[in-house]
Amino acid sequence: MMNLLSTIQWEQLFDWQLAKEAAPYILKNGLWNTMWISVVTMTLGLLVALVVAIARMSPYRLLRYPARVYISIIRGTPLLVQLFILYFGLPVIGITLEPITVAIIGLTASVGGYASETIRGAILSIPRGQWEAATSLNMSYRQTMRRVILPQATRVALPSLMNSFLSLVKDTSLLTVITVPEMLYYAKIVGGRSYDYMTVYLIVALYYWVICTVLNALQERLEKHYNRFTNT
Amino acid sequence: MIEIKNLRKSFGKLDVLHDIDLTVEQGEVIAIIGPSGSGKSTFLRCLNSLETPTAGSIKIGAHTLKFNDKKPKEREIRSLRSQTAMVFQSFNLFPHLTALENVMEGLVTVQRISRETASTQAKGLLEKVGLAQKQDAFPIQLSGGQQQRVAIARALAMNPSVLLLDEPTSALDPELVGGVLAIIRELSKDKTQTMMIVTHEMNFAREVADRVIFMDEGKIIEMGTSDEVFGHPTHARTKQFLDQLYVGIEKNLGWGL
Repeated sequence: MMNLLSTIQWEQLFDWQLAKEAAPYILKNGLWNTMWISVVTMTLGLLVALVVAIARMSPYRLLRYPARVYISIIRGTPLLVQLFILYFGLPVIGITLEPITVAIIGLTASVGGYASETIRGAILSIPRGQWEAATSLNMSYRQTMRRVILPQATRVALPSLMNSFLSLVKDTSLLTVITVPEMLYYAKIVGGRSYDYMTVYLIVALYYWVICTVLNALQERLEKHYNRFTNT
Repeated sequence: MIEIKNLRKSFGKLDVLHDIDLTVEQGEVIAIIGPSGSGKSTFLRCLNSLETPTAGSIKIGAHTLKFNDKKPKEREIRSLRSQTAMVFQSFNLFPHLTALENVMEGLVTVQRISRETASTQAKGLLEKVGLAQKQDAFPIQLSGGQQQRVAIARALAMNPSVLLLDEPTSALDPELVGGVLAIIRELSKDKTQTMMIVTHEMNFAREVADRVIFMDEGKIIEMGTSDEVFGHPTHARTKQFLDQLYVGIEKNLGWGL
C-alpha cells in the first residue's frame, strides 16, 4: 500500500503551479455566470412551478392535463437531452436562440417541473382545517392560498426546494456543452491549453462544493426562521 | 333572523340531513345536541356553506340562498357566509400568525380594514376573551383553551349576525373546558349575539341555551326551551339519549340521580 502511494506522481494529479493561475481565472470569468444563471432560473422556475402545481390540482381538466404532461416530460427525460433538443432542434424549425437564452429556458423549465411536485406535495400537506378556517372568514381561494396555505407550505417545501437549488447550481455545468461560459467552460479552456485537465477539474469541484456549503448554511438559517411557529 | 326551510344534505346516496326546518330569532342562543353521527355538525357547516346543501333554502338577515341541482354562485355563497362566523372543534388557528394576527387576518384581508384599525379592534377582542397579554404568542405557545379563545375572538372580529360553534370544547383537556365555556356564557348574557352551538356539554347547554334542539339521524327530533327538552322530553329517542348520558354520569361519579 505504502509502496503504491509512493509510486503515484502527485504533480500529474494536481499541479500547484498551474492551479495558482487557473483558480483565479476560472473564478473571475465563470463564477458570476454560474451564480446569476442559477439564481435567475431558480426564481423563474419557482414561479412556473407554483402555477403548474396549482394547475395540476385544479378541478378543470383543461388545466390539469397539460400540467401533468409537462411534469411528465421534464421528469422523464434527461436535462442534458432537453438542452440539446432546445439548442440543436429549435434552429431546425427556424428559431435560433443565443446559448444563454436556451440555458435560461431549459433550466427554468426543469426547475418548474421538479419544484411543482414539491410545492404540490407541500400544499396538500396543509390540514383541511386551515382551508376551512380561511373559508369561514370568507377568504377567496386566492386569499387563502396567499395568506394561509403558501406561508405554511413554504416551510414544508423548503428543504426539498433547497435541494433542487443545489442540484441546479451543479447542473449549470451541463451548459458548457451548449457553449455557455460558466465555470466548467473556463476550466476546460485552461485544461485544453495546458493539457492538464485534472488540476482544473479539481479546482472546479472545490468551487461547487464551497458554493453548496454556503447555500446549505443559508438553508439552516431559513429553516430556523420558518420553524419559529412549530415544535418540530 | 335565520330561516331554514326543507334543508337537505346527501353525501352520494347517504342522506345526512332530512328536510330541516328552523327559525331563529335575533339574539337567540340555540344548543344542538344529539348522538354522534346525527348530522349536527353537518347542519352547522351547511349554514356557512362549508358544506353545500343538496336542497332547501337558508335565509340569514337579508340574504337568502336556495339550493338545488345548480351550484349556487360563489358571490351569493360569500354574501350569505359574511353573516356568519365559525368556531371549530380543533380551533384551526393559523399557526404561522401570532394570536393578534390571527384575529386581525379576516379584518385586513377580507374586510380591507387598515392594519392600525384592525389591530386596535383585535386587541379589544383579545381582551374580551382574557388573552390581552398573549397577543404576540404563536398558537403553538398557547394551551388548547387559550387557542380556542383566540379562535372565538377571530370569529367575533368578523362581526357576524350569527356565531356558529361546532363542539367548541370537545378537543380540550377537561380542566380547560371551563374557561372556554365561561367566554361563551359571557357572550350569551347580553342577548345580542345570535349563537348556534353544537355541544356535548349538557349542563352548559341547559344553562345558556334559549332553545335546545335534539337531533338524531339527520332530523330534528325535538325542540324546545332547555327545561322542556332536558326536564320533560316528550320523544322516546330524546329520553333514551338523555338517560344514557345520566347513566354514564352516575356510573362515573357515583351520583344517584
